[in-house]
Amino acid sequence: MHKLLEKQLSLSCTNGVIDLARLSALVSGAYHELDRDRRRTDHSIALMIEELDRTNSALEDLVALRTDEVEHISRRLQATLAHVDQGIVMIDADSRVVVHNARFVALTGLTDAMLAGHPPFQEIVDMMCRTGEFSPMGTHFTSWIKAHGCKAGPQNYQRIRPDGTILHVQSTPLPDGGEVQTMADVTGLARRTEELDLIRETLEAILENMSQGIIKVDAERNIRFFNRRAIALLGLPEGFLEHGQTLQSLLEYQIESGEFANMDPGFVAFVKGGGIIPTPQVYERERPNGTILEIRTILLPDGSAVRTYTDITEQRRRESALKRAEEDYRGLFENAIVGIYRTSMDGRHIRANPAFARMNGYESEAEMLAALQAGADWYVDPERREAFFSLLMRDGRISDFVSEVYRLKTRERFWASEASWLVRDADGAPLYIEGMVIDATDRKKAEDDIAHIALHDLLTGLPNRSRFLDRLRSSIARNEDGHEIAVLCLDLDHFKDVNDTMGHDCGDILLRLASRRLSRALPQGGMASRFGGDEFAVLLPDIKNRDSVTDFARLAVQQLSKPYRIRGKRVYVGVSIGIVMAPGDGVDAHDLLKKADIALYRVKRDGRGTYACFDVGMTAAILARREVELELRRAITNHEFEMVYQPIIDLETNQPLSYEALIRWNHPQKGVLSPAAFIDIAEESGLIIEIGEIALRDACTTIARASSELGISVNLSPVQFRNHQLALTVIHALAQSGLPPHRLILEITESALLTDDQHTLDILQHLRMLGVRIALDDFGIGHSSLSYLQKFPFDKIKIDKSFVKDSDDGTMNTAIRRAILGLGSDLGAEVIVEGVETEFQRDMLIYEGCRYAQGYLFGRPAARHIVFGDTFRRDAA
Amino acid sequence: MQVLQQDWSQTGDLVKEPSSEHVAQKWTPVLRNNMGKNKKREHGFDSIKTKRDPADFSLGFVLFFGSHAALQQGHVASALRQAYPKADLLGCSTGGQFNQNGLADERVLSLAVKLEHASSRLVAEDIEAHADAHACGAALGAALAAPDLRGVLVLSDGLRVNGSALVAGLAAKVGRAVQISGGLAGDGGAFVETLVSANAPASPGRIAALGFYGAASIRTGSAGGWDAFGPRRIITKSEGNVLFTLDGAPALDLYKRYLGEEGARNLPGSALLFPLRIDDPGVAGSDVMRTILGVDHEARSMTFAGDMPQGWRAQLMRGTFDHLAEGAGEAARQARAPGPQAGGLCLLVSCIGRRLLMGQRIIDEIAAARAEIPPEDAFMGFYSYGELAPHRQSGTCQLHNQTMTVFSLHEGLG
Repeated sequence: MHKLLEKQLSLSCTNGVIDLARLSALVSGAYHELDRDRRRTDHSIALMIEELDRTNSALEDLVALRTDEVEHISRRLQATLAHVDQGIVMIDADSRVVVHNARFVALTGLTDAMLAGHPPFQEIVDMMCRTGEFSPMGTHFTSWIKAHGCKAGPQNYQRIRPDGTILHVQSTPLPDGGEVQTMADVTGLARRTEELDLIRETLEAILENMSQGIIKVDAERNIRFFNRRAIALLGLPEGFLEHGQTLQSLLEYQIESGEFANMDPGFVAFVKGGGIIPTPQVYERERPNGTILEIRTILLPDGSAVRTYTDITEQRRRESALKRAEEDYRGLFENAIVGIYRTSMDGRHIRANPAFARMNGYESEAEMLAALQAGADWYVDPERREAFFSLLMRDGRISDFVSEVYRLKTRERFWASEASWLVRDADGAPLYIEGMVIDATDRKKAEDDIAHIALHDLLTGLPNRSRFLDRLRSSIARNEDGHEIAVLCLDLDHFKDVNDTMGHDCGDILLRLASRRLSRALPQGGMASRFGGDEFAVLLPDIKNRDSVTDFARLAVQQLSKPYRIRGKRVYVGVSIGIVMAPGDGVDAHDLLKKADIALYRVKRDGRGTYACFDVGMTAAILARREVELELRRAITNHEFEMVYQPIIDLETNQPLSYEALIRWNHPQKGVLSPAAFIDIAEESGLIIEIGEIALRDACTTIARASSELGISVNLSPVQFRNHQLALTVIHALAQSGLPPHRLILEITESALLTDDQHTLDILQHLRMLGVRIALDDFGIGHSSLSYLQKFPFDKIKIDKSFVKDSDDGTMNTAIRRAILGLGSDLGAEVIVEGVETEFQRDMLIYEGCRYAQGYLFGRPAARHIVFGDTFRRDAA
Repeated sequence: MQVLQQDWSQTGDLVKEPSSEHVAQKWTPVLRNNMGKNKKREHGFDSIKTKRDPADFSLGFVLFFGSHAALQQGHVASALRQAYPKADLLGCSTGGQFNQNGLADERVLSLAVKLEHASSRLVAEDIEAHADAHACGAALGAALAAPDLRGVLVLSDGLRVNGSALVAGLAAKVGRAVQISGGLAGDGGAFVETLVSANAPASPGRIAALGFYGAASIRTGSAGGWDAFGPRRIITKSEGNVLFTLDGAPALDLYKRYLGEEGARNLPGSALLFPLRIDDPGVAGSDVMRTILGVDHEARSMTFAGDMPQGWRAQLMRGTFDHLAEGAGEAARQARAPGPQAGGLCLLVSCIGRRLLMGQRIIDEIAAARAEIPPEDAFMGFYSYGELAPHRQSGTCQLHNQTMTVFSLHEGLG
């Protein structure tokens, strides 16, 4: 049973009894409800259908409307795509081409056919690769585009088409997975950009490398541009200026850093106020570091301003230097002592300075110019004028052109030295001549004097050696017919004595007198000259016969030997003459002189006071000796003599008693020479006197300094002995050195005693009286040694070294030695044994009673700084 | 929990002992005899002595539902107060009530509940005392709010209250975790006056809320079973719960067309046959059913039981007996506690519109719901002018119409 019916039954049933009316009402009610429900449902359905129809037609209308709208939009879109300047392609999520425009086709080198039907974009890319669209971009790009060209993601790049167009390609992903690519032709833009870049770079380079500094500010006075030079010129710190910095900040910095310290307050105020005025402005300013800047400011129409800085320090400096130079030169020109002029080539237009006018005797330039216009001659010798011009034209300049000229006003003559130069124009044609003139009269005279002096002996006025040689040479050269030329060398004998006894000034007078006599004695054509000292030479250029030469020589001897009256005294000198004949004896001037000298030497050696002719017999030995003599003379002057010292030992004390001083000659070429090499020549020439003097002085001085007790032995030559000045020399030596006389021992050999006994003895006594001691040297080997002992009480006896040696006559030597020793002791003379070389010898001597010895055993002769050490070390050094 | 179902006559006389079908566990219904002492003999009804001591219901509450007349007379309320002096008494006028035995329109049905582990609290407000329903709901919520509040059962005046606003205000105060359920009182389809009684004489404009605390397990279910037909229209003009136009045309005209002549004459009651389903176009699953409450022929407007937000979509619904009955069953299924539970109670709130449409076949709905509820649970319900239940999708308690809502309460932490 239907549930409802069950319910209805239970509702209408009470205690098992069904209320039929109730039941019927319920059931009937149920049916009504059903009917109502059905009607309601049908009605609803009908309404629903109606609704549907209405909705459908509304939808249809809407669809139609929307379709129209879409079509309208689509047409607009197509038109836009077609006309836009960019190439556009849109691909969907499946990478197929959905939309493209004609420009895209044009910019990719594709065709409409290729793009028909929504091809996959990868195909398009491949096609573009095949057509070489990407070839200008290189293989790297091409392979990239092949791999990623389809779905590139957000990209932005430029590529060059085969025809050179530059495309800017941009691809943008779309939210739905597709992509839009646009490409624009930016060739023009790229090119313009390049051009602009180039211009900008060029401009920057120009601005950075300009020598001017530039600063530009905009209308708000912010710095918009500046170059490096500006920073440098203004002395700003590196990196100080920045774009956009205010001009004010720069000005403030400058004020603070003392840039305007040397400007007046008005300027500083102007700067503080901004430093720019409406009108273009130029001014100069000196910076604290001394640079001078020219500062220009100009306003531009848009309110901005440009300021340039130029360093004009150099320019100003040059200007002021030029001005100063000009002033200097003007001063020089006006005030010069030398005459300065400028003249045109034809001599018409002349400018000259006051000095030039004065030189010519005029008060002013104007006066002189007037006179010059008249065309006066200036050069005494007209040829000088031509010479002047030709030299000037040839070389362009002349210096020291000395000529005799007229003082224009007075026609007085004087010598002038000219320095001139030619001024040419740009093409090289002569414009004018400029020059300087100095009065050279004094100079000329001086030159003449010098020339004279150069060729003449000052003292006597005779031609000098140079002149003589010249004359000789030219005579020889000119000697075509082979006639003889005589050369005579003259020497005044004993001239030195006169000098020594009467003094040099008397010697000079003597020379002058002698030369006068000589000149007077000259024959015609002869020339006398003085070579120096007491040496003269005579040239007789034209000899007809030899006798005239010897006659002259005899005459010369005679005249020159006559007494001279000098300072009220009578003075005698002799003359020795050596004669040589050219071309017979030679043709070389020097050679001839030498030979004449040799002849003279011979005369002197033989006795003096006469003449001799050169002959070839005069040997080389004489020449050599003459050489040595000359060298000795020089050695004396050059202090080439040195004393060495050998000790004489007291064998009892083994201490030196005294030293023997020995002379050595430090010859520049031959080295150290012992007396043997030169003593005989020295004695022959008489130079021994001077040398001996030197030796004596040196020895005394040395021993006096070195010791207060030691004695010094000095050898005397016989020649010294014969010199009447000997005692004086000794006294001088002692006095100068301060040496007590008893410490000086003069050693003489037997040969000194050979001649003139009495005179010799007198000398010895004289010396002894001075306190000096005398030793007899080389005793035992002379002729009659003992006899000397007899004559004179010698203080010391030196036994010759030959007696020390153990010779064949060993016994003999010993006997003799011993005898001498005994002798000496008996006589009261100290005996010194020379030549001790071994200890055995010494011992033997000691045994024999010998007290004093000298020899290599005790020491070799050595220089004073070695022997006497510290005292003379300083000197040696 | 101990439950006692009783049937009362309108005069306050207990009609019969509850049938043995639903005897709660461990309990033998005993009613105290003192009730009979106070019985007014002039009414001439028999009073039955009960074996149960009403003092047992100190921790408890009594729900009762009857007709407008029954509640207004108040006899049953007095009887209940005498029977259960310490319990909270909560009841309202309806469009009919039922229990497992079926409809009992001429009776007053009561359900006494004693909670052994959970506790309950009854509060009430008058709509006049507040600015609006939202504020009223907030006041109720504030009064009930507590950390262990599990659920709230609301019985509200059915004609003067905006149910949507009410529950919004209430939910704002008690929070989302609290299950809110309940219904709007009815008056048998007259739409004149509805009454609510909460420990006081029944009165209109009253809203009562019963809060459950502690070890209370509450489940709700709601389902309609209406079929949509016709196009979706846009609510183009509305104010609160007053609908003016759909798709620019007066909604009243639309309804008159659908109802036909006869139906148009019987507005607003006849409009119950075609409720509207409204939803927010932007929010999926926001659909709710709305039933008409009143009609203004001059303004051509229709007042609904809840808000009709402008811009929402509205679609007409129609009901078929079978589908509606299935819907009731679905609602009961939703509220059924999973797993074995000690006996609880199940309160069903169905809509007056459903009753009107189904007529006598309403028994199908009750039977379908009953079939889903376990026999040990007490089963009672009433027909309202609006149902309150959490929305199936959003979880927020909303006002529903034309819906079967089921509220089940069990003790224990389940």
